[in-house]
This record gives sequence, C-alpha cells and structure tokens, in this order.
Amino acid sequence: MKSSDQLASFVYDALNAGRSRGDITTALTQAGWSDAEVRDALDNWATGDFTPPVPRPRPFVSAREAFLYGLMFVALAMVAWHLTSLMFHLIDRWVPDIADTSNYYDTRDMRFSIASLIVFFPLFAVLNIRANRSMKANAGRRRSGVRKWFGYITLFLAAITLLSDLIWVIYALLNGDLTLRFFAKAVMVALVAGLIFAYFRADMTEDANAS
Amino acid sequence: MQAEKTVPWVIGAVVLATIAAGVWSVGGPASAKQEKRDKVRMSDIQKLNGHVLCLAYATDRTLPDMLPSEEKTIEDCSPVPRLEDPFTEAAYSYERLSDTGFRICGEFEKPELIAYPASYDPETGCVGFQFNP
Repeated sequence: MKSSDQLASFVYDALNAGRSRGDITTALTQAGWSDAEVRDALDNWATGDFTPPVPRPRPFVSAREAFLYGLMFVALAMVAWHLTSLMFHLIDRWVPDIADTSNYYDTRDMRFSIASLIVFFPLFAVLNIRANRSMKANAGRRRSGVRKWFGYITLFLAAITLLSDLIWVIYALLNGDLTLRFFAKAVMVALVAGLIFAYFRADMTEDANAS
Repeated sequence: MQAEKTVPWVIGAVVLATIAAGVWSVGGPASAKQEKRDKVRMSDIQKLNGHVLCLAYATDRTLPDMLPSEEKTIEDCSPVPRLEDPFTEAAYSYERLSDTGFRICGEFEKPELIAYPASYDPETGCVGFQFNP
C-alpha cells in the first residue's frame, strides 16, 4: 500500500468513526505528516456530518481526453512551428540583409508551411472550441489531469521559447548581429510564443480559481 | 478572463494574415508551375555547359563557334543534350564571348527567383561560363 493510500484510508476510517477534523489533524501531525498533506487528505472528503464520509470530486485521466488534448497539443505545436517558419521566409524576402549569407528564398518550404497551417490551424480551433464548450457544460472537466498536463507543458515550452528568444537577442546585440532582419525574426518568435503563453496562462489561472 | 476571449482572435488573425502574406508572396499553383519549368531550363543549360566543354576539349581546346546538331556532332560528345526549350520549342542561344568565356541563354518565366548559378543574369536570361584551356 502506498503511503498516500494509507493516509487516505486512515482519514476515511477516522471520519467514519465520527472523529472531528481537529482530532484527526492533531493525530496526523503528531505522526509526522506535513500540514499540506493533512489538509489535502481531509479535503478529499466533504465537510458535514453525513456518514459514511462523502468524497469530493478529484482530477481524473481518461483515454478520450488524452486523445483530444494530445491531438490539440500536436496541432498547436505544428501551427506554432510552421507559422514561425513561414514568417521567417517572408522576412528573408522583405527585409534585405547583405551580411546574411543564408540569403535564400525557398518557395517549397513556404508552400509546405502554408499547407500545414491550412490543415492544423482549423483543427486546433475546432478542438479548442469543443473543449471549451464541454467545460462550460460540465465544470468537472476542468479537473481533467490530462488537460492540466498538456496546458502546463505548453506553458513550459512557450516560456522556454520566450527566454531563449531573449538570450538570442542579447547575444546578437553583443555579437554585432542585431540587424533589422534578425530583430524582426526575434519579434515574430516572441509574438507567437507570447500569444500561446498568454492564452494558456489565462486558461490555467481560471482552473486554479475554479477548483 | 479577458485574455481567454481576445487572445484566440488575435492568434486566428495572425495565422490568417501570415497564410495570406505567404500565398501572396509565393504565388499560386500557376506560378509554381512556372518555377518548375525554369528549373528544367536551368538544368538544360547546365547540361549544355558540359557539352560545350566536351566539344572544346575534343577540338584542340578551342571553344566552338556554334553548337552542332546531333548529326554533325563529334562522336565523343554524343548524344547532344536538348538544344531547345522543351516547353516553348525556342532554341537556347549559345554565344562565344572570348577564348575562355561563353554564355548560354534561355527564356525564363520567373527570373527573379533564380538564385543559382551566381553568373546568371536575370536581365538577359544568360548564364556565363568559363573554359580553362
């Protein structure tokens, strides 16, 4: 038995036996459990005198959600990648730079990015709208563990991208490479990563408020 | 709350604007076909370059004045690569500039997109080549 299971079954038994929450807290604290662990264990059960103790809803993981959010995550990643790639090619075309030897304009790359965006952006939009609608209909979906994980992984990647972008700008500045072309590309990366970050942070913050 | 409402629209607008700019910049299927035809023409011109060098080495290291057809060519330099544009049937023009330089020209549809070779002149459609006797 895992220690968290032991704790959960102890709390259940104690509440079932009619012990007060204060007594249980004291007993567990004396046994060495941390305040946060005790609070979490007690929060699993609704307050009130009903016996047996009434469980509170907990985060859940479902294969259907993993499929939907996984697909949404991949769609978002493809959109972010190809959006940036297409922007880079457009900047290469519109912002001339004599010192940049990688001065090429690849129409095939651009067409592939356009095709990917045409497929993945509507997919992401539709999945996202559906996910939001189902959350409005059923607030319990907000507690989906899969959703939280994909949300925070996205936030993590967006944050890493923003930080790396900043490092590159500072490096280019120090190295004398901060041309208009480079700066325009850095701004585009910041725009894409920033938008994704802003969106998912708002989404995750709402979760934190909701639960 | 606010961000969840506005950010999706901003993302959508950025994506659509980028797709539109991309399509506008890169051209549609017709322009892609033009690019493909230009690639064939450039590859023909590169093959003709090899052919000219072959003729020059076979004739006392002198550049030919003109490109002979298949019937009249030297056996060593046979078969003769395509001498005319396969799409317009117009002949590629060969021009001897000096003892060591020549150029081969064709009609390109998207001259501004041709980045290679560097000796390509978008104004005239000619590619300059060197011969070291």
